[in-house]
Amino acid sequence: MTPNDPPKWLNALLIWFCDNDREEEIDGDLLEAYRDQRNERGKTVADVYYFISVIKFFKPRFMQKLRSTQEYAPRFGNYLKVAIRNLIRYRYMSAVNLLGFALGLSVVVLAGEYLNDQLTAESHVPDAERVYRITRGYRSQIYSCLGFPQWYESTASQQLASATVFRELPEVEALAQFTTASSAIMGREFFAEANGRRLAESDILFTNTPEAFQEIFDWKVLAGSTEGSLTSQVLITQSSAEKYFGADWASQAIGSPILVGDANFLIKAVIEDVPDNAHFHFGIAALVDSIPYTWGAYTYARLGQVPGDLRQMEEKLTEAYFQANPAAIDDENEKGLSLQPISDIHLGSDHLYELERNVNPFYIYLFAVIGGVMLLIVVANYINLTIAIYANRYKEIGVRKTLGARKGDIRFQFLFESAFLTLLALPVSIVLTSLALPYFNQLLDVQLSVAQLLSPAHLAVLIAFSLVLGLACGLYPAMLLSRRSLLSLFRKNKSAKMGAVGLRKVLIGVQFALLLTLSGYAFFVNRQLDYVHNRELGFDKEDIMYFRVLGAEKYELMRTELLKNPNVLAVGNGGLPGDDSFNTVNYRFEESEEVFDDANQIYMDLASAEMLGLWSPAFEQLTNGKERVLVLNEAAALKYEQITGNEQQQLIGKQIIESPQFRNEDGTLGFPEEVDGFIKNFNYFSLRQDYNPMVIQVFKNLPWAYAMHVKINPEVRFETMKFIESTYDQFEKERPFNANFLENRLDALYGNENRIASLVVYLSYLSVILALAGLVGLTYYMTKVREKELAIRKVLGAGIGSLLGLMSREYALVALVSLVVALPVTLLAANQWLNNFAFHIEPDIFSLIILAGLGMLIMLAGVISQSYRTAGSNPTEALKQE
Amino acid sequence: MNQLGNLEETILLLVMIMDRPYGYALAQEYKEQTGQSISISAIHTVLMRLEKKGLIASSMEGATVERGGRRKRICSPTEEGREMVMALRANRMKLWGQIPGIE
Repeated sequence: MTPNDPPKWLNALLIWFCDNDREEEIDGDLLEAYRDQRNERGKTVADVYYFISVIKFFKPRFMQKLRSTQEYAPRFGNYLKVAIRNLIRYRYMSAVNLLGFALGLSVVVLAGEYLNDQLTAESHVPDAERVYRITRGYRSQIYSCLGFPQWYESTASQQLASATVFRELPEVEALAQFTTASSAIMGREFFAEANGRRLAESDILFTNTPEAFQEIFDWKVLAGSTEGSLTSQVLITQSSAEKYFGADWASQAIGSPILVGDANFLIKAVIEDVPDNAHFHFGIAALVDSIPYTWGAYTYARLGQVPGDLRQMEEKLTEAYFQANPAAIDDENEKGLSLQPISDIHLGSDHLYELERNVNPFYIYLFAVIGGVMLLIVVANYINLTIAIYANRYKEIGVRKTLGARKGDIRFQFLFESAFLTLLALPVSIVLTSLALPYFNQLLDVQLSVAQLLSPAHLAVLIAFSLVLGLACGLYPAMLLSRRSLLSLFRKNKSAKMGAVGLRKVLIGVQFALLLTLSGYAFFVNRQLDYVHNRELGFDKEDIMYFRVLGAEKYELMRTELLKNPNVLAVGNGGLPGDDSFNTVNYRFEESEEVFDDANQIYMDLASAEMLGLWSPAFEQLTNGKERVLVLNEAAALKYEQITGNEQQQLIGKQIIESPQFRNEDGTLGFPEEVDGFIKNFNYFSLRQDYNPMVIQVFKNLPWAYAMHVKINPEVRFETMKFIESTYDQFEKERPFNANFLENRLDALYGNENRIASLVVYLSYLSVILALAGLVGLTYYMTKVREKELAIRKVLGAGIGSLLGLMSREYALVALVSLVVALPVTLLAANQWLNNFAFHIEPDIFSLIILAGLGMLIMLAGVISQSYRTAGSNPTEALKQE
Repeated sequence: MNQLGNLEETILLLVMIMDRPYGYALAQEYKEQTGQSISISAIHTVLMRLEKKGLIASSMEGATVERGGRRKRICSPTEEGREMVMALRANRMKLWGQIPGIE
């Protein structure tokens, strides 16, 4: 007969809060009382009395105390000894777990440091929250710099026109202007000479507001000082100083003369190198009255305080700008100035003519996400492996409980063991990270240092994180172990019903799904990059060198010289594909009044066009005496058809009017040009951009020259390059020879993507290896556990094949489910990234399935490798004990 | 010298009277002897105090089926407890004896 029991939940509650020492007698007394009550007064009354009694015991004096029982007093020494003993006993598993932790921690460290580095850009600028870059909206684009009133021909005071008016605004505390030699608006190199050394420099900065420049950016002075007169002086960074003056720069550099281009300066001070995560860099900052060779400058303002209404402040600035540039007032294209917080620039600012290509924040977060995925794989691995090992330690726990250990003690012990392992993994991971750091720095173009990693603050965070990781991993196994009742621990039931086999399958399934997503993503990213690299761009990109040459005369002379060499196949001039975005132009078709601003204007000479393999029937006119033809690309032609409804052929002979709002001196509007023909679309810009209308003017000979393109014979590359360089040096003394190949330029457009693609692939490999190691270890122990079962099956006649099939079948289903789950996620993630490109591959399910199949095969191989031993062994071995 | 509350004294006496006193049994005996019902929690509170004062000792024993296999905490008076009870009785007798008109 089943005895009457009080309500279970009340009983559970009582046991939970009650002090373990008194639990038993209180529980027993209340039980007796309940049963008597129930017999006498019935269930309901008994329940009520029970409820009241439990409440009455809910007092501090009866509650669970935070002290160990007298008999079982575990010391750390005991836990430590046991932990180490177990680590050694299960060597393989421990090694896998340790490695997993170490790798996981390393990835976390690198990701964390990288994130920290990138997200704290411009932190070296004091009061950065009040510092802004002034940008200008023109047509539908945003310029990251401001132009001078007379562009290249501006005088020194004209260059400061806007700056002067801005400074007068009460909200503006300081205002600085500068341009760097490597920026798109100057884009040239200089020779610098100091201490007898003459070197080509591209990291030169010019500022005509030296005091403000120092005030806003607060460069740390290592030698010399920034007090006193600053004209015709330079600030030089430590690395540059070392280049010119050697290790002794501290004493030698200050006050030394330095020649930059064709101007003489004195070195005023040596400053700390610019941090790698700043949005602009320089080795030499020349303090001048007038910035040479540029049409504008990058302008920065520090405001007295963060403006309450940013819009208002921007309008004030715009007004001031119009004051200094009256010509801009009537220009419809002027959309006004904006303030861009300086900390926002490094992370993905992509306006026109940026100082440097900025990092795309998407990739930073992607890195973090991938790191997280890898960590999840490590955790799943750990839980699976430890649960398997712990099955062997039931007796140990049983003994401990007999000696008086409570659940909390058991839990603590196993949490201790996992935390111990992670702390062990810590030095390993630090070593791994340090080893990987130089490659990592190169890969992601940063400059993290080991010193940074080991700084007290970072180290503390790392240790804390390791502990959290260890505890998180160990939580589930510890809970599971502590819950088992005392008697069940001593039973011989080794079918590992621990936590249900279901969980193990879920963990493996989760791991597999994560792996699939990661490698699937890596696969598509790399596929896309292959596509980008190999896709037909509509022009020939091979074997074309380019470099800067200024002046039509110089160009002509050099060209004649170069063509004397039979390995120089062609020399051309003008615009070259692979450029970053530049300003668009306004235009309208003769037959319509509608004005657009989405076209780019390109100039090139016939030689360039031929070199690039571009052709249009209109070019023939150039050989028949015409000096210049104007062609439109298909995108422009389509637009014409859309707007006018006419066939595009009708456009030939008609006019396209550029800058149609511009009033000429004779009263006419804009610059009308006759359209001579059409040309097929080609990818002038990166494949992230779709085709946009292009107006291409091809000259027989360009009346000006900024650059030279040379197509060389690929079989004699090296010698031809040397020839070109020496020819260049003959004609150009002031500017260093700095040539590049068109192919490299095109690849460089995808710097960010290339980096992340490599990273994702590496991490995928690591994760696969990790998961595989875990699976192999797991299988090994699982088969050991099922030794007897398998032996009996063998005796009953099962062949090795069917036994292997038995082991694998269970996991095959898991893998299938994971595939179904991972598929949509991967496709979604991949599509999201691919949509950054106007031209991209279509991710297909088929590839993913093949990838999954591959993964399954690898895992299967792992499982079989372990099962084989057991399946093939003599069954009597396993059954001997019985 | 420890002070003893009324309830504490009563329970202590019961402990000395009963054969193998423990929580529930004490509660029932108390009800029978005094006519007042008392909660198990009150009993346990008193027993804890008495044990803390060193007047009783306890040990766990005697699991029964009625108790679902849980043992009882059996209390017994210590030497001190016995002395305390005697002293109390003596004191009381002295006072009572001084009331005029009582035998």
